[in-house]
Amino acid sequence: MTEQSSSEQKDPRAVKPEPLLHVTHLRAYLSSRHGVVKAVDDVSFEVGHGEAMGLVGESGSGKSVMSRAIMGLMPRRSDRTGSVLFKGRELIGLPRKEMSEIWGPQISMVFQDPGRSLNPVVPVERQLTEGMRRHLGLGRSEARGRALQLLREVGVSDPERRLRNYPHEMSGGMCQRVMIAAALACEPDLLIADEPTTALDVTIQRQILDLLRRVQRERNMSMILISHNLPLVAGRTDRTAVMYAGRLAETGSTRQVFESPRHRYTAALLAATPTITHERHSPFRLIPGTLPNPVKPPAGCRFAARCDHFHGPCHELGPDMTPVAAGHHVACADPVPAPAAVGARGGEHDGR
Amino acid sequence: MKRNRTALAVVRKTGRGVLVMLLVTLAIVVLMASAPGSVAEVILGQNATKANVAALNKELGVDKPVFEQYTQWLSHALRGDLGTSPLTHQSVTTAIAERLPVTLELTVLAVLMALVLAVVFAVACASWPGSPLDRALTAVSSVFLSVPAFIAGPVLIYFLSVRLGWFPVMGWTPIGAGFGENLRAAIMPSLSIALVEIAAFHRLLRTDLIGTLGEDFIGAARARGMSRAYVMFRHAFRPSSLSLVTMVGLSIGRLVGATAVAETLFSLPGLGQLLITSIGSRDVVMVQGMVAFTGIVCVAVNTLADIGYGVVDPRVRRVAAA
Amino acid sequence: MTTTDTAAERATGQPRPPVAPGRLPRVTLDRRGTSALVRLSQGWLVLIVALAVLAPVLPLASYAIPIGAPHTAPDLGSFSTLLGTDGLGRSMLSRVVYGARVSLVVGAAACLIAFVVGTVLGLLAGYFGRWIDSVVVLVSDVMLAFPGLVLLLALASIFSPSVKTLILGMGVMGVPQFVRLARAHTLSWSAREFVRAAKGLGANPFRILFREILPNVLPPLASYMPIVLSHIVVAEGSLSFLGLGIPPPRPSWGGMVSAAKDSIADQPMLVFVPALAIFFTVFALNQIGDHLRSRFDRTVEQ
Repeated sequence: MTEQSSSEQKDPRAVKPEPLLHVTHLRAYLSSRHGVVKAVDDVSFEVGHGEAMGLVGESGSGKSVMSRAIMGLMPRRSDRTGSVLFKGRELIGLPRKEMSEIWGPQISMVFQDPGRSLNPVVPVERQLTEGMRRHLGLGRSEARGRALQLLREVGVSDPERRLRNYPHEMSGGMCQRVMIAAALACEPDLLIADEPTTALDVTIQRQILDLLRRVQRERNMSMILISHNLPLVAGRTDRTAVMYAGRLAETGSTRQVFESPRHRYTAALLAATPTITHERHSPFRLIPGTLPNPVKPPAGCRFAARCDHFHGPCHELGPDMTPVAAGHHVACADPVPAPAAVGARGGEHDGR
Repeated sequence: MKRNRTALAVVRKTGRGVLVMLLVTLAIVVLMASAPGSVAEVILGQNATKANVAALNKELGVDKPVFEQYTQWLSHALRGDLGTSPLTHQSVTTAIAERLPVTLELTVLAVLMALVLAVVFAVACASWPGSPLDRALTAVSSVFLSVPAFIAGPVLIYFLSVRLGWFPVMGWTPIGAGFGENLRAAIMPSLSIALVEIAAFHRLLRTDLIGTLGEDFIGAARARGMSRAYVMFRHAFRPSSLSLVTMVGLSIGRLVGATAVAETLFSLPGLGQLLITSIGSRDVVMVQGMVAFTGIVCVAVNTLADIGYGVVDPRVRRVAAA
Repeated sequence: MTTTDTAAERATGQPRPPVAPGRLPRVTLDRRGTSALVRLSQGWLVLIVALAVLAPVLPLASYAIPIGAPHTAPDLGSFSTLLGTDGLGRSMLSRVVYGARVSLVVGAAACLIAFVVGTVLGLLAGYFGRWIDSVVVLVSDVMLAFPGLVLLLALASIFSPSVKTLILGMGVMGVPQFVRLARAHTLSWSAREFVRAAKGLGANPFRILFREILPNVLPPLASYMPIVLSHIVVAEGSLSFLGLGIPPPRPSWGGMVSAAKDSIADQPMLVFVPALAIFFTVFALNQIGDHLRSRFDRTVEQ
């Protein structure tokens, strides 16, 4: 990512290394009772090798659908267009059979609610080993051995006993560790974690996220970490993308986005987020209003109706992502003025 | 601890089953005792003398209070004695034992046919929901659902026996006289009572499968790259078959009623046929014994299905009576 | 592994040209509303009910008196011969129409009894709980344990079949289904805020039950009526088929099938005409029932 941003600085059109994941003009529409929901509507971004990208936004902004659109795990009565290049290979339109060779050893996923993403009537062992047996061709005992190793890696105590458990016999945090172990089993190059801690206790949330960050670094794996909880993402990703109503509002290094947000939405969102550094008695500034109707999104900037800086151009055809600094892109007609220069280097901004 | 709770659930369900059986049989005895006119009058007909009626009433024990009749009936029934027909002088238990194999074979065959076809249909439908295949199979099953045995039977006879000559129009060949011939005699009557069940099982399993396939854990299994067939059979099928277990239990009651129709139509020497002839001849003792027997069997099957839930679903200990 | 064009791209290092944003995702929406099949079903029921109600004023021959030779083919000449004649030369159409009267009167009355009794019991059980609930649930379990048709057969063995006993027997048969549904819906509504608030304010329980809960429970329950009605039509047909329904000479669909079944090889129409009448009616009721349930019962998926 660093190389890319510095080369971009010199000449955006210069030859750059192929990112691991290159998403362009991705749209994912779903059917609902009220009509066609434009859950993801023209989104482009990249994830580099070994890079952790945070994807943040309010619930309903389309983050989850986007993760599934990248994966190719779309629900019934839905469609996606655009391009998802993974290691240079187009995933959209790939037959399911070929997709299933990618799921597991190439891209894998950790879901929101561990209580629901483990099959309640299947023991942990099979759910953990079935992927390895299929993709790595391991035998029963080999796969079992690796499963024990994986469970230890994700901090599960007494792994032998866990293998015999059914999901309902374990706590939510334990289930999520098992899910992470299953997702890591075939050594994927990209791990998509869709709100992996939303369903868990606050105390467990940190542990799980630290675990994800640790294995991501140790394995030099790429990761997309999706969350509506900004501070949780801040300390554990290299880059951050902010999503609003099916579109990206802002992308940049985590440090850039959190320390000098340029999109009005990002700024409002950060102001509305309580942090420990937040002054104790100063009031939260909640963003008034709600997300626009996803069936008939407004033309122009989708945040315009809630933005206190909107003016004429905001209602015209949508602002495109424009670079405001190295590796920092914003889709805003009237961005927040740039503060004193902030380094482009992705960082461990401590949002805790 | 866990095992204890499972055992406790089994004991509780069995206890409830026994309680329901007692109430079922009590209801039958009370019902029979409440018949207008005494049983003896009914049996002996209008030309009976008062003395004859009184004697028969005493013989049958119907001159006593209802509850006493029940305890007496129950104490005999527990020893396997369901009474003796005052008309044919045959023991009810013997009569049932003689006729049971036919009815049992029809019922088991019907359940098997219904399960196999319904599973194939439902898996096909749930694999491609909304597809032309799904819609066609769902339409077929809506038709089946509306074809009770007394319609299905004659239609099957007309097409498969009269027009095509594949099966005998009626009559029974016991299993002792050759398995093939026995099956030839049993298949049409079984099919005629199975059609409704095929549809009932198919609709239920299809809905449950589609529901399960939308669960997160199915998405997770797919995200591990498991094949369609693997996800369907190793992940989706078992949690979806839970309500099917209950449905199969409930279907026994419907099937027992339907066998009466099929046995009458195809002239098969089963329980249903005996029940109908006994009703025709006003053989109250026989009717009472057979109705009690079928009631008990149905309660037993449903209790078993309820317990069988625990075998399919490891969570059932926690989620009591879902 | 990689497709050729992306391999070429990688070789030249050129970024992939953006996909033309013109192609938008195409999503088919759930088709809601009334399907053609449901409309046809409604049409059939309207027709059959109209025929049954208007039977006495229609230019129909009596169902009991022969109007010509036996087994005449359908003939467009007169209303009564539209479907031909049966083995005794009686008008098939007249018998089918009068058979509908029996099925529908018995079915509708029994269904109504089952609905009213079952709903009241289910409401009481679901709302008051405790021993009322235990007793009602136990009794409905006992009734469900009884195979419906066997129960009716047992009744037929002691009471001579008449319209009254049939309605009563089938009404009783349908009660437990409504009890279960009403109880389940009442339980879920009783847990709602507004009901709990009313309870907390000390409102009369029967007022809460009939003013607050009943109106919410009624639509999903009523949407089950066609299904229960179809069960009753089938049960009535089965009984008549077994010769334990409405006694002759009154025609009933089940009885017509039964009477004609032995001559099916020569006169299949005599079986098929009443059989189709039952099939269409049951099918129509099932279709309408499914349609109503998907609209009014939130526990039904999709």
